[in-house]
Amino acid sequence: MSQLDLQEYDIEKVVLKYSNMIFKICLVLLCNEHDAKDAVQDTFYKYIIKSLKFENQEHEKAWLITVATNICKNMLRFKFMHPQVDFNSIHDYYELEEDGEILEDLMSIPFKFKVVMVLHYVEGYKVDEIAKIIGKTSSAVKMRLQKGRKLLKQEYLREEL
Amino acid sequence: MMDNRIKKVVDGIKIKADMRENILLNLNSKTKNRKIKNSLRKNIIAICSIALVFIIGSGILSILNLSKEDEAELSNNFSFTVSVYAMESDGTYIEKSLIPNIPEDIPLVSLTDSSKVCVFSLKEFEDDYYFDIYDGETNEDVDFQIDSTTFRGEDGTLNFIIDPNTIIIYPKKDSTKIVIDAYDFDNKLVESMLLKIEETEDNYIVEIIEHDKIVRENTPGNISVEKGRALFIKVGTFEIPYESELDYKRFREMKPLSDKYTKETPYYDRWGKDKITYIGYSLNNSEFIAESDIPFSADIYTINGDMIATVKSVGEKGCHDVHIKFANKKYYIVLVNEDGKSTENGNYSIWK
Repeated sequence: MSQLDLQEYDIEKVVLKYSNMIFKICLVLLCNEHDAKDAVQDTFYKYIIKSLKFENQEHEKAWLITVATNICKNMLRFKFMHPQVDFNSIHDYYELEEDGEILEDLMSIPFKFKVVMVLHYVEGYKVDEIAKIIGKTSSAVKMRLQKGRKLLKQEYLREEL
Repeated sequence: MMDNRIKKVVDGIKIKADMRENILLNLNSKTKNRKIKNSLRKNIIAICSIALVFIIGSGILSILNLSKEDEAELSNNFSFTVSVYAMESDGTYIEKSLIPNIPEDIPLVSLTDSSKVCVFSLKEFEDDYYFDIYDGETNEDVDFQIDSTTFRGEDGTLNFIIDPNTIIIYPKKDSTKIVIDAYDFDNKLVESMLLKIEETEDNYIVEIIEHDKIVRENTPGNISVEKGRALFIKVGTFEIPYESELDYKRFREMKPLSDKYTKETPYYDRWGKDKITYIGYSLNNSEFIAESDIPFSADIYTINGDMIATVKSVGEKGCHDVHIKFANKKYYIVLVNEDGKSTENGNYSIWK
């Protein structure tokens, strides 16, 4: 069966299952609610049009993350000269003020660091798994995690001052 | 602690219900449209195939433009073409299905006229590189994304692999000229070089021709690498893992090899104990062979400390080697064991 023949019911099932996960990654990476929504939609569209057979659910999830991060990267790239960071649009996604600060700190660090931070600390992927997902070496992922933590601490200390 | 807070906050993000509904609606509608379009698609591709054969036959660089919708359109005599394969550094192809991270939406490129000078403008963004490619006549950009991807054409086409920092070029026929421009984040040209690549009976000869960027030295120089061996051409800012240990001044202190060493009596030395090994002589008009029982690379530098290429060793378990021929211009070599390993079984020789 081609993915094109996926029934609406099947599409809905996949969207329901993964949309939260993909959306939160895209929101952190893009810092913009509307762009994040577009990225989620593009990710699922690719899922539908590609005739991919996944080995298991983990494979499917990793594929979706890879595609979503690539889409985010492309979107950011085209907006490179005109970034559209919109922290106002993320107010709906946290309740406490201090949670908002953490989110903004995370969003403020460069793309390559926040990708590995989110995959590791939020999605619980190990270094080797992240390396496969983003197509980098394990040592590069370790370095990025290290640097990402350092950058977050700097952001945090800056606010403290 | 901070890590737990990140998890808690990000995990708290949920997509809004209306947003999800909207996505579902759009997906269903797009899918239906696609089914209708798909029935027309075969005809479009059939027409394009004829056009592509015609253009290739007339010797013009042609690019078949595949849009995001996977529908083929011809545009301005440029084409994207053929399939994407990944290639190991030893030149063997990896099955597409084995690559876990196939980049999406990458137009595929092959140059059908290898004698044409084409310009690849390499742009960097967040560790990935993007190329603008155009030939000198039409001056039209085609933008595509690179991610350790190989482009393989039919026989007679130029093949190359892109790594984040390097390009490996396997020309197939005649001579090929390529201009490689690297840009930094501010869109400023940081590196530029013109390469002429010729295939001879035994070698690919890569000539770095003087170009408009000052970083290139004035006199042209030739380096050749035996067929089947990959020459990694440096572009952009090249991360040298051992940079902090590198003493650039040593290149200036190195003299040519004494005339007493000839083809019959080459210079011979051992190496491999240290992380990096400087070859103590400048190399020109000579052949350089290095061997080791562990994988390594021979990094080629100019006297100014610009690394211009990395030649990866090839071979089987326990037997790895590089073989480089140098023409007139002086270069310097640093041998580097992979992953900082050490061995007592490395040796190298210089043949004048």
